[in-house]
Amino acid sequence: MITAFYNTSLKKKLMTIILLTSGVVLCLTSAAFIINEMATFRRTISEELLSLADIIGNNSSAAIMFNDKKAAQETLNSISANPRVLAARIVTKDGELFVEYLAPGADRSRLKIGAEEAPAEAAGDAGALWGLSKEVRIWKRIVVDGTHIGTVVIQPNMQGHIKKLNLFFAIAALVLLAAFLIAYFMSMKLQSLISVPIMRLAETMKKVSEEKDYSLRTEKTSKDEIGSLIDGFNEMLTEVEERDEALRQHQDHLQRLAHFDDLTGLPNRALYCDRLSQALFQADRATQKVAVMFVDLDCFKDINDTSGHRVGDLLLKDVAARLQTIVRVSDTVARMGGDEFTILLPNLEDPEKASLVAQKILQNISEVYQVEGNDIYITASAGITIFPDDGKTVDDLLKNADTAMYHAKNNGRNVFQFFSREMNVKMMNRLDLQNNLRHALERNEFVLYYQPRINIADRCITSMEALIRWPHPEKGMIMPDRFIPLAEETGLIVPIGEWVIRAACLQIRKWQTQGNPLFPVAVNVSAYQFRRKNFTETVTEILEETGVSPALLEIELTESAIMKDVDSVIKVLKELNSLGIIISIDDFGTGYSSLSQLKRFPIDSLKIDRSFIANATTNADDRAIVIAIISMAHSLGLNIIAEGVETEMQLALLSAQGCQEMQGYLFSKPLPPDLLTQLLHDDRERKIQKNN
Amino acid sequence: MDFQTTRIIYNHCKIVILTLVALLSAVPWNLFAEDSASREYKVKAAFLYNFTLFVEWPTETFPANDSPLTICILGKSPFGDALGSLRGKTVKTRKLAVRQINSVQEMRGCQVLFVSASEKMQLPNILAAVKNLNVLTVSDLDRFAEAGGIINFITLEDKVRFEVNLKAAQQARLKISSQLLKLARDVIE
Repeated sequence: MITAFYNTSLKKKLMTIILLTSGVVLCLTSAAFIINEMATFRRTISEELLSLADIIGNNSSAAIMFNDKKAAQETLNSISANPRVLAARIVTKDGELFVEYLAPGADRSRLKIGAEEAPAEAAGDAGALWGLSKEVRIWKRIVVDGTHIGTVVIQPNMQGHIKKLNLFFAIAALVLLAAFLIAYFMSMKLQSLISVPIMRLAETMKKVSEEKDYSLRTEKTSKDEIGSLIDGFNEMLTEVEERDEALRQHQDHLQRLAHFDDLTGLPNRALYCDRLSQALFQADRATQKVAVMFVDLDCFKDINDTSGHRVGDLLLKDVAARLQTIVRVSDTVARMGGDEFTILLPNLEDPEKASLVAQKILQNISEVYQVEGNDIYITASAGITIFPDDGKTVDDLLKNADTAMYHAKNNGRNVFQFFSREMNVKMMNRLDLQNNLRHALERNEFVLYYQPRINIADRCITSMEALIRWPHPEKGMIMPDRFIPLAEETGLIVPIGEWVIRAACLQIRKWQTQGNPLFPVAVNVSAYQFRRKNFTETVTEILEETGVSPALLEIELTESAIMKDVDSVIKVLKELNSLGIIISIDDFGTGYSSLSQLKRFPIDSLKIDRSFIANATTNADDRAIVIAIISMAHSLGLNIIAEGVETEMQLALLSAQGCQEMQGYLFSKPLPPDLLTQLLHDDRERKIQKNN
Repeated sequence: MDFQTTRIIYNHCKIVILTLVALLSAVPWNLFAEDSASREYKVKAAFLYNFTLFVEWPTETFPANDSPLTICILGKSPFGDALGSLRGKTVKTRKLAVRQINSVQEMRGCQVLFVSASEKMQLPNILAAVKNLNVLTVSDLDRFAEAGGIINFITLEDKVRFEVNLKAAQQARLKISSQLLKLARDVIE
């Protein structure tokens, strides 16, 4: 019932509430009215009949006392002739019926008053309180001189009362019905004030949820709570609409993000792979060729490092724009991340076309860029692979292109390279070596060899250079030129470089404790390692740890390593210099040293590159360079060391030019520590002999 | 149980008890059934008392406020022990006293004088003697009222009734209630 009510329409609910309320109020009012009427009537009749009983009692007391029924009957008859009296009796104090009066039409069998009625009270009424019963009685004791002699009992005629009551009930029912009808029609009209706007709102809501049309609105008809509800609803719809729009834009944006590169607007890897796989599918059916080209900017990292990421990003955008102008509409240029771009050339008739495109790209990229008013130059290396010749799957092609690109970089950069099978083998070897390298450090497989440097004048040892060697358990001795570039690529150069410094210092310490004469030991430090923020601290720590004097440690940096970001290099060099560490420049003459910068470096020695020394006796140009370097070193007050001296002729030339120190096979190749220790002993003996 | 139900049960119980009482004490209202003389005078004794309730004496009749109201029986009393039932009764605030007297000279202090049949011959003297006294004279002698007595018992249809001589009562300066007069079979003016 109650659940049913809850589920009915708002209109029915409102009407039910109004009708119930008015019904209850009307019923209560009518009931109160009738009850009050009955009570009044009852009281009136009770009072009236009590006084009547009093009169009867007074007028018949003597008759009772003198047992004169006739006189009593006369008195009773005359006084009881009242339409309100249905029956009256006088009862003696013993409860015996004395006289009785019955109104015309009274049914004696239904009259219950009689001899048995002798209540203890002096006067009162009995029977149904609300007067509907025919058994209502009123009695009054007859008292003479304080003595109870009998009782008057009157049964009122309730007929009129009942009739009146019935009439009341009829009128009340009619009024109730009329009022209810009026309430019904009024509520029907009035409830619409509330239910109609709500129903309209509900309708709109239903429509919105069914049609998902958030542009619908409900008309506001009033300024009450319903009005604000409608306002709120409409606002909510507006909000939903706006959010929908925002969501759509967001989704578009995500779509873009998912398939396009944020910076350059080029397709990203995902979209590129998708297009590539489609192109492969079509090319397969049409027996056409597809070229996949990897283009990687050379030394882009340096631009990021020196000019900042902002400039780097702007440059990437320019590169992307240039790439797009070069290729055909059907080609796809994508950015794979970082400074790596891929180009898809579908429907290729001849692989040679790909090399034309590559050439064009490399040439175009190497032209000057204007970024924030600065001229920037950059080159790129490209790797090309051809479907279906080199590979048939997307993954294979991408890998091949990457391998080819890597080879191009190794081949001096700013070139492009087609993929070949051998590359793959090489690549595998490289990867293998890379993995081994990692383990080598963990397993402590590296060793240091030492090559002494000789004072040309007396042929005594002045210092030595520590050179790393990797005695591979399977592949044999691996020279640094094979694994150092790999270590630089993977970042392993940092722990390896650290290991070199520590191992050299430990060796110095060992010699020291063995009582051997001490010479400075030079270690090679890669540019990557040197540019690490905490390089000076690392060196200091190692020196403290091993207890080696800084004066016994020499740091060798290549010429190319110090010529980038000169200011910060100078800063670090000064720090090292202040510690007392010797600093020398390796491979001098091969880089593009700015001679004006050179004087700013706090360096101790220059090492003439072995390529000049090797040709110095045969080639006049090289000889001129050697002479120039030596004389420049002299004038700058720098020590000069010749590397790779293999013949006496070379030595003679150097000696003639005033070069004091040399290093090379002529005197000694790099030796393991124990062999070198032997050499140190020989050297000491020679010195002693000389002195003698 | 509501009030009405209680009331109904109470009434029913009362009816049963009263019926039992009525059955147990069922005495036929027949004056001459057993001891007719004694029964008749029992009623008359009661009537004597009843009369005092419906008659007003002048205040000076009583010597004091608490003086008793005295009923005097003149001559040979026909009441037997019937008057005993009046003992201890009061009339308004006064105590009721009953006295036996043998001559009219002894009637000082009497407010009601019952003249017994034995005094039939002395009646004129008696009436003359009380004429100006505030005394209610009662008798069952024939024509007592006509003779100048105030209340005269008569017997009608085996029932004790009475006649009132209003003139005599007025002469005795007694006020007789209209109720009593209404019951009188005859009122002599």
